[in-house]
Amino acid sequence: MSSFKETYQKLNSKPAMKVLKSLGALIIIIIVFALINDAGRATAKFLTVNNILTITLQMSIYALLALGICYVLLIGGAELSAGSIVGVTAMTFLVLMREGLPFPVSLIITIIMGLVIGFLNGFMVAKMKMIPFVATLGMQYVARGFCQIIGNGQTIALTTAVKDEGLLAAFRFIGSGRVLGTIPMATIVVVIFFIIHYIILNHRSFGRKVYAVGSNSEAARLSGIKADRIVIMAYMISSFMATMAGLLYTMRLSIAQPAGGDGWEFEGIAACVIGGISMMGGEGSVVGAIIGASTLAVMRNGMNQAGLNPYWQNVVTGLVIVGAVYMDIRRRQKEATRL
Amino acid sequence: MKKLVSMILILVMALMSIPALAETEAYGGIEGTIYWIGKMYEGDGWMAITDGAKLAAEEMGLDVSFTYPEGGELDVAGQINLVENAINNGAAAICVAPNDSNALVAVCQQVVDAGIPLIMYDTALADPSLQTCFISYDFYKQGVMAADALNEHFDGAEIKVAVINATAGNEAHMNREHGFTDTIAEKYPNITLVGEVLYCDNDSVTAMNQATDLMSANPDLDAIYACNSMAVEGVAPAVLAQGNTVAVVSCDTSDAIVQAIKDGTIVFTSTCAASAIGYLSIVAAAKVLAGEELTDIEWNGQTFPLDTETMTYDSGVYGIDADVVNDESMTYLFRPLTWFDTYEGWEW
Repeated sequence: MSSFKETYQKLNSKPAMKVLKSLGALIIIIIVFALINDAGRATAKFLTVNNILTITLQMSIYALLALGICYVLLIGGAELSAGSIVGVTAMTFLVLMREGLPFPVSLIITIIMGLVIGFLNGFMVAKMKMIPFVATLGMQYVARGFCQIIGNGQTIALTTAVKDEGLLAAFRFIGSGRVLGTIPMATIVVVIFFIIHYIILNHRSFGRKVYAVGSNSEAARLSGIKADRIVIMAYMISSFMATMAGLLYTMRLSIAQPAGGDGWEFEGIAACVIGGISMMGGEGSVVGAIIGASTLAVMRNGMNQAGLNPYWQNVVTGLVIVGAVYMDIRRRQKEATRL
Repeated sequence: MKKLVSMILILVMALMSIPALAETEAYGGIEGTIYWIGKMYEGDGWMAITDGAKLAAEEMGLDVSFTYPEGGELDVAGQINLVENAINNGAAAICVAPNDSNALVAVCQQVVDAGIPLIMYDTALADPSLQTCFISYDFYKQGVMAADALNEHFDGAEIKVAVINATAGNEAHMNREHGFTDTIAEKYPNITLVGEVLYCDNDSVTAMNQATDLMSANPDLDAIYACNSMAVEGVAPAVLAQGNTVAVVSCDTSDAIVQAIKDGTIVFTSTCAASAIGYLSIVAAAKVLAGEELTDIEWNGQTFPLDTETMTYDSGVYGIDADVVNDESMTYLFRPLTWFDTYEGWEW
């Protein structure tokens, strides 16, 4: 009996276990909503291939955000400006295109803008020793302000900004098109980025350094890791992904809005947290970020289909987030007492 | 050092007063600053309202201070602060579009107590006795027009419609919702509301996902009513992606909405005469300050009637559909900001 408990505890502490637990929770949620929505119906509406693919499409923008915010949470930071970065990069991209700049130029300038914002965030945290919460909160306002300034407070339509028919068709395809008639292009984009970040975080020394800095930045520094540089890079990767999310948003909605992305940093953070990424840093995986984003999207889709009042939807989402964080804290406490 | 600083300050102040000397003669010899407080400085509608007000201020040679609550149309506390600031700064007149009709009553009472003329515009105040005059914009009517347009589009057939609103508790949005739901309950038994009204929290991606889910959960859904630009800017792409199998009616106008009408996704939308609302608010304030009696106002070829009983100007609500959008002469309605480029001026 005791060896079973030992084995369980040993397994429980492995990072893979965390991911499996999140995956288990997701599967349970899917089953619950399948029962609520599909039981007793002739044709299923929730547990269908089409709906599952639709869910991946619905979470695509948030998933890109989560993949980036993952890095910031892993180094123990906070990212409150991600939503504003989505907004300002989306707006900048369309404004540049509208002014007639060729697509590659507009794209590069937009990406540079995103990277600069990320650099500033990282600089404030690493070099100016500001608390990440405060630094990114300030940046949230600054970026939002610039989003409104650049677009002059207006919503810009994709069709106004992009006159090239071929380019317009390409954007629309990425935003809402389906490959082979079934798999959404946006989902494929998310998968590609997921693979890239999985490789970076799990099979590159940079990834190891990220985890090291997040677990114990002093120890990391003493062992020769340039912690400041890692921190800055983490914020830059996060804002790069926010830029990608911003571009996908213009292609999904065919517009850029002055309020675009408002509050989305919490979508990304919630997705990471539900997926088992610790807010204290050093723990969690990019797989968790995707599982977390999926959980949120499945919940919303299921609740919408069940016709649940959106107010209650917010309550449910909040409870799930609290539950996920609580379980994380409990597990850390258990581990601490076992040592 | 101190002497140098004070000399520089005096110089700066002198320089700042020069523009004031070069200005056009103010209408009716009005002195002082009019404080104009909007709901937010973004979105085509509000930009157009602001531009209208700025135009009037320029044409009439008035000194107007334009401010907006930081948090936009949901920021009630911020707006109350702005009104208080205006009172403390000795405003000649105050024009306000309240974010909440009830919450602003107390501070508007202070405005009246201070003897400052109060012009309300866009949204009504819960206590209309406080205002000197009101430029109205009937949100409820927009909902009614949407319902009428929907029924007409389907020729009175039996249809199912879902509603995606923006923010629960926001007066403008709720009035648009009730105008619609009340009308279909009273006038159109052939139109059935599917499920409950969904709220996208003024976020377009949320609205997009909600619309997608509504369409997959209800394959026989015929229409969706989206109550503001943020909602419909999410609903329209979702519907377009599914091949326009569902008709969309909405409120507000913007570039994206105009494009969606041309794509056939949106069947009908309605808008206020945004630039006129802003324009009228300043003109009314100016006339009050100049000691003139308020009467019907003519501008840009349109007459805006004054209801002398309630001291309300009706700025009107206008329907926009495919015909209007393809009519260049109606640009001022559906693309109020572009129209400003062609505006030729008005003589007072």
